[in-house]
Amino acid sequence: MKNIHVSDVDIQRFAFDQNGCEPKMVEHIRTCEKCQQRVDTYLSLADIIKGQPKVTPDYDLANLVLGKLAPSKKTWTIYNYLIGFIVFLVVGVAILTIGLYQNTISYLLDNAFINQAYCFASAIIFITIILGIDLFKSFNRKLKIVNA
Amino acid sequence: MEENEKTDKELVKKILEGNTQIFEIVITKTQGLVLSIIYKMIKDEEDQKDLAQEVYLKAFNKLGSFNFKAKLSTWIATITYNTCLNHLSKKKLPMLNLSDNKEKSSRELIENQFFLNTEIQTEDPLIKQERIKIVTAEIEKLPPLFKTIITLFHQQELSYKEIAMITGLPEGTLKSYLYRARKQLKNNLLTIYKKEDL
Repeated sequence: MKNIHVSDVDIQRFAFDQNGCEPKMVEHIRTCEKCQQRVDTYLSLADIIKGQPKVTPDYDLANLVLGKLAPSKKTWTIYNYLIGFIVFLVVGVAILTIGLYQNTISYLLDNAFINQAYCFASAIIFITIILGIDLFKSFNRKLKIVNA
Repeated sequence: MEENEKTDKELVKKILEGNTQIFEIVITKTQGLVLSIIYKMIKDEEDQKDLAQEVYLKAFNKLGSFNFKAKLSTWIATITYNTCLNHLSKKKLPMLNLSDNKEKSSRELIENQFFLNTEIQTEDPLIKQERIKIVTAEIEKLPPLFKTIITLFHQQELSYKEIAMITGLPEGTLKSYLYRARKQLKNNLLTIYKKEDL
């Protein structure tokens, strides 16, 4: 064994993955100057590779990516305020209507169809407003991606 | 690892809750690894820039499917590798050109000056810089797969398991490719150094 040097694969295994080495091979490398030198060559090479300069782009990657993402939380808050205001408005109108409804209960009971139609129309308007806001937000998001 | 995992979970949770600005932290934390893969696999500078953005947009859109089985950086590196692989495949560029990879069996491995010369082993920063420059240039000549795995293993110091996860290669195959990549790199350097010596 002493006169037969180990293969290049085993030299690399010894240098970088000693768990996979056979005891005989380890013994040989430790006692053979030539093989030890071959191990040192690979260790030296690995050291140089490690010292390579890190990649530093000449652009701000985070900025580029964030510009293409959906609007940030800060932008969303403005929409949230708008939605909150509209919901508040609609609820207010509903309460006012109920108030009027209580005052004119006898009249409305006689006109059940008009009452139902009014409620139905209110609901449709409310849903349309919400869908419109959502559509607007979605459109803005897509426009931002296209423009980027 | 646990600390990392915790941070990953916190970051992902906040992003999924709608705070997209937090994604900047993810980019800052992982761009070193992502760019090192892209720059090793793709040569064209414009493509490198486009792919870097594409990787993070994909990662952002798929974040909900991240299952924390690996580190977030490893997961994003996997997306990076696959995105580069698709790009190479679209451009019909080979990932591993085996014909370039034939070892010159006739060449004796000489005791060379490049690695073991005592003069070079000194801590002279100029000599060290020069050595790094030569090796970097030689790494660039390797096939994309070899460049990538060598960088991930030696520069980014990822484990076999992590690199196997990123590249989708079995660990045995990965080790075999790493042996061949290092040997090819060493032999190329020896050839150059011998020529310069003459």
